[in-house]
Amino acid sequence: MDKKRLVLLLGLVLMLTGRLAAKNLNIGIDYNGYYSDNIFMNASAITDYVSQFHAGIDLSAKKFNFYLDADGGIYKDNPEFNTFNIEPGMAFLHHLNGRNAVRVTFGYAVLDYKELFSDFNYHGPKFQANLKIYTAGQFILEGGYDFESRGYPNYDSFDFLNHKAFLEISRFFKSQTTLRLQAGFNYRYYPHIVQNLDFGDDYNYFDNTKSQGKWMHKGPGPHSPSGTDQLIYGSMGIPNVYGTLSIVQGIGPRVGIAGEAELRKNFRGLDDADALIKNSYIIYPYNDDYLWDGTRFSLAVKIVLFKALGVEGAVSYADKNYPGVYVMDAGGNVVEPAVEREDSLLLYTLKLSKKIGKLDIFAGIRRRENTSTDDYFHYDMLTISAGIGYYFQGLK
Amino acid sequence: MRKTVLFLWLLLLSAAAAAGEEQIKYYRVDSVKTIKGEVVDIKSETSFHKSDFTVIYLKEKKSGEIYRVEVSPGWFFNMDVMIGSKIEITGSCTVENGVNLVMTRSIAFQGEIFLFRDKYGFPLWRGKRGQPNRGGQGKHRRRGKH
Repeated sequence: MDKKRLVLLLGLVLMLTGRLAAKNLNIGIDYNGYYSDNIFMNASAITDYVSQFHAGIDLSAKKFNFYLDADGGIYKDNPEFNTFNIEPGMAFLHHLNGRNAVRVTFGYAVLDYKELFSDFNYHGPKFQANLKIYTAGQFILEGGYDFESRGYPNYDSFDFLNHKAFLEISRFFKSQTTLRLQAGFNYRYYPHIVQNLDFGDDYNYFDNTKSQGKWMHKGPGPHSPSGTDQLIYGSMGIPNVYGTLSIVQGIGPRVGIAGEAELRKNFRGLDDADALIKNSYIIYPYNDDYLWDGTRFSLAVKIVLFKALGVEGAVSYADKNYPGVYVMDAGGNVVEPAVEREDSLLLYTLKLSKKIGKLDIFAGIRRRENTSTDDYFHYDMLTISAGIGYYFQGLK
Repeated sequence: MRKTVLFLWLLLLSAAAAAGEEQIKYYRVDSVKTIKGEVVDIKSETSFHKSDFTVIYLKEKKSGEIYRVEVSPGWFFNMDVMIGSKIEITGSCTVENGVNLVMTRSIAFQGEIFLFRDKYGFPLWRGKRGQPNRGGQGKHRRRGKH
C-alpha cells in the first residue's frame, strides 16, 4: 500500500472514529489509592500503599455496549504484586415490557503479575446473564448466572471453571421497608490439579502431554515404568450454597438502614484443595468465599447529606469455619493434633462519596479485626482509601 | 367552494403538523427545586421522542399536588422505587397545560441518591446505551453487577 492510500485510510478511520466518538463513545478514567497497615491481611502486618488505575472505553450501538477496560495495580513497597489486567467485552441490555430487563455480558479477562507471581497470571472468557422482573403486588424477582473460565498458563493446577447462579425475591412495603431474600449456588471446578501419587492405588490422571490433554487410567503399580516422576493430575469440584436475608428500612428519602444475615455452606471439605487454598491465601485473601462455611451479619446506615454528599457506615460480623483447612506452623506443616481453622471477623467501614459534575470522588476508612485458631490469621488491619474518577461522555 | 376546500386542507395540514411535533422541553436551571412526596404510579411513556421513557407520578407531601416526573429512558432507570415509595426529587419544574412537570436531575430513596442529569440539565444517559444507572454514591463502573 502506498503512502497516499495509507494516509487516506488513516484519515477515514479517524473521521469515522471521530463521528462515533462524538455520538456514542465514552471514556472513563479512575484513580484509587489505598494505604493499609496490613496489606495481606495476616500476622505479618506488612504496610503498603497501593495505587489502582483504571481506564475504560465504551462504544454504544443500539442495545449493545462494547467495552475495553484496563486496570493497573501498583504496590509501593511490594512491587512483585503489581498487576495489569485488560478486559474487552460486550454487554447487551434488552428492555422488556414495563421496567423488566434482561442483560447479557461477554468478556475476556487477561491478568499479568510480575515474574515472582507469574504462576498466578490468567486469561479466559466470562459470561453473565441477568433477568429482572417487576411484578404486581410490589415484588421484584431477579435471577442471574455467571460463568468464568480461567486458564493459568504457568501453573495449570490453578485452571478453573466457575459457575454462579442466584435467585432473588424482594418485596416493598408501604412502611418503606424492603425485604429481600437471595439464594445462590456456586460451583468451582478444577479440571487438572497435580496430585501426589499413592502407589498401589487405582488412579485417574490428566495427561497434558497429548495435544488436547486426555484423561488416563492406571491400575496398581508404579506409575512410571522408567522410575522417573511423571505429573499426575486429578480433578476437583467445590459446590457452595448460600442464602441471604436483608431488610432495608427507609427513614425519609435521605436515610436508609440495612440489616443483612448470610448463611453459607460448603458441601465438600477442602482436604486436598491446595490449588484453591494457595490461590486464596496468597493472591486473593479478601475473596475466600469458597473456603468458608458459617454466618455473617451486617448493619449499614446510608445517608444523603447536603449537596448530595453520600455517607455510608457499616459494621459486620462473621463466624467462619474452614472445613479441611488445618492450622499450620510457620513451615507450612499441619500442627498436630490437627485443628481446623476457625475465624471471627469484625469489620467496620465508613465511606463518603460525592459527584461533582463528571467527577466521582470517594474517601473511606475500613478496619478489620480477625481472630483465628491459626495464629497466622490473627490480625488487625486499617485501610484508608480515596479515589477520583472522570467520565468523558459522547454527545448526541 | 375552492377557497373552502383550500382552507380545510390547510387546517388539516396544520393539525397534522401539530400532532406530529412534540413540544420541545428545556431544562431550566432557574426553575430547579426539590420536592418530597410519595410515588403514586410509575409508567413507561413517550417523551423526548422516546417511547420507553420512565415517568413517575408523585404526590407532593405538603400540598398533595400531583407531579409528572420525567426521569430517563427505561434502560437507564435502575432504581427499585415502587408505588408507595417516599422519595425526594430535584429537577426543573414547569407547568404545561395545567400539569406540573419535572425534568429530573436526581432522586433520593432509602438513603441513596441517583443522578440522571448534570447541574445544567445535560442527560447522563447520553451515549451510555446498555449501561444502567449505577447510582451516585461512588459506585464505580463495574459491569454485570446490579
